[in-house]
Amino acid sequence: MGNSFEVTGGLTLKGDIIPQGAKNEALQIICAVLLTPQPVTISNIPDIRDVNKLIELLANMGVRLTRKGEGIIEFQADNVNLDFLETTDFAKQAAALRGSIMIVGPLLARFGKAHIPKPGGDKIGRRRLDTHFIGFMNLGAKFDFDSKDEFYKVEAKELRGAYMLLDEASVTGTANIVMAAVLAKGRTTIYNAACEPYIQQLCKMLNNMGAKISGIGSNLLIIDGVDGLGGCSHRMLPDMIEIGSFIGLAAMTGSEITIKDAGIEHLGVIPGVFRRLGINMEFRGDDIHIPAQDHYEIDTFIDGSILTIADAIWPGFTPDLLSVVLVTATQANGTVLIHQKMFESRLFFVDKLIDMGAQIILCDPHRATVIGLNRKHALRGIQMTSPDIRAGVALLIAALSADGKSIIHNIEQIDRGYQKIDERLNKLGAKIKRVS
Amino acid sequence: MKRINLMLLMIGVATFAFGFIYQSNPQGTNVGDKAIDLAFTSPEGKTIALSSLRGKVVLIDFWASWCGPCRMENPNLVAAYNKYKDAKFKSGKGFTIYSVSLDQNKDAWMKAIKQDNLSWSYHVSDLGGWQSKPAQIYRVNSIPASYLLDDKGVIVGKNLRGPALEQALEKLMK
Repeated sequence: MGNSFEVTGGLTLKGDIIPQGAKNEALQIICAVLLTPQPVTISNIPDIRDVNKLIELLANMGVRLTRKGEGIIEFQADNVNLDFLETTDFAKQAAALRGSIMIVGPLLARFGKAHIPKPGGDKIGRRRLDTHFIGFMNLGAKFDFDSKDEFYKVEAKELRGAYMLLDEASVTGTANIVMAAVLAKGRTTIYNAACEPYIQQLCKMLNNMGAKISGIGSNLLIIDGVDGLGGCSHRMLPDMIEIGSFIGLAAMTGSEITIKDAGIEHLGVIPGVFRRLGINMEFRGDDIHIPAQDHYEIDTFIDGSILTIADAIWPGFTPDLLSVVLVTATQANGTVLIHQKMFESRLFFVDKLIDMGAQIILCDPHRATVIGLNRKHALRGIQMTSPDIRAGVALLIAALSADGKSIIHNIEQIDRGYQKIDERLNKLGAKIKRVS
Repeated sequence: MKRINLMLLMIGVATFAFGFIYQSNPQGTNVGDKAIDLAFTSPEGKTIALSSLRGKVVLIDFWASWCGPCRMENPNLVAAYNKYKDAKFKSGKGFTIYSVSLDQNKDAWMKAIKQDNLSWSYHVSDLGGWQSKPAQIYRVNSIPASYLLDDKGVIVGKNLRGPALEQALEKLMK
């Protein structure tokens, strides 16, 4: 397995593609298996690095795994080895994986203590964990940060339900607090809770396991604690980020692609945003069909002014797809301002797109204006490095549309989020080769 | 004065009528909603409509033969069925279960019905697995999932596992 992609651009793709299970749902759902000693079977698990590492971490903690089929695993946490949390192996594994923070809520709820090293992840600006730990403290846990070994520790004899107003509607924070609160004594009310589809999925699954959560889908969650949870079988939703990436890819390469079983009702504003870029799509049952399009024209606001696409917390447009919208706009007819409000330093990859011949003005670390080329000329293939997971896929889309060959280095960043993306796109007619 | 009284009376009647219309519950999957009707096929090939069970208290149970936790829950369902099938509720007579399976293999499905003694006659499936239509209609992505309906088909409880089912049924009797 090489760590670069050699991409031959300019080819038109055609065919059906099945989106993988949602990465961001997988990380929460898999941590939730720690809440019960009974078996929990999860299907549609994406085969990607972050998820596999989390599964490995749970296995090392003593969670029993049984593979039941492709993407289907039965987990049983009936014999969790808490001593493993004291080992340097654990420190190493957990620090390398941001998703591991979500084992803290379940462990605290079920065993009364948890600790975790300061987690890592991609370099897309600082993300703090205050929301998580303030939440646990609200439930009565004692918090301690050991600056020597850089470990966060929480402990509680008994968690007690409480009212809390989150300082930010953090997705992982909400998931973590919900997982702690389901086994707390009494009622927990979380206001300014995240409400995106994957949190909804987690809450619904916990309810199936016997939890009492209401307000699902809103930013006010009410959780009545129960004594214990049972097992269940759960299927994950398709990954909305992949779906959005495929829509952008189809438009950018002028390809006819059908995205199968897309879970359209869970996509929120995503299809609408791509439609504003002028991309046609048709919903056929739960499939999204994107016809081959020679040109697509960016909408303006109704007063005629330049369209702005900005990210926002759900139900707004996800920040994870802004890079795809940006790259897709480079070949549209029209102009759009991309405003990345939620994170900094995620737009710097536009340098590479400019090198490829795209017309983009990087206004500041948060905003870029894209003046579409309307296919007057194609982008040029170049050598580039993928800085993070979402920019990585945008660069891949650019390379697939470009004239000539491109080399993308550091593709671990793409593999982190997209399962066997080269094989799957090659099946549709792309030419992507792994090289070292 | 008389005219004012008449007007007040009319307003009263209108409010009452509006309230009455408003009271008929919307369709949905939340407690208080009217359960969306399902009509799917039994192992014998007969179409069974959920709405044909009106008048009884009904548990819609989403399960599958391959779902371990569902099978572990089945003894609870069997016990509740045997205890309450002929019970007289505050409103409605008798309790039954409308079992919706997410199986893909008919034989496995039928075998599990027999093995677990699911003796009620309302078993349906389109053999679509997770993609099956009834699961999509009820937005079910985790099983076991259950909905308890009163005799009018209104959802009065959800995901009643273990002793929670009997407790909910008891409440409908008093």
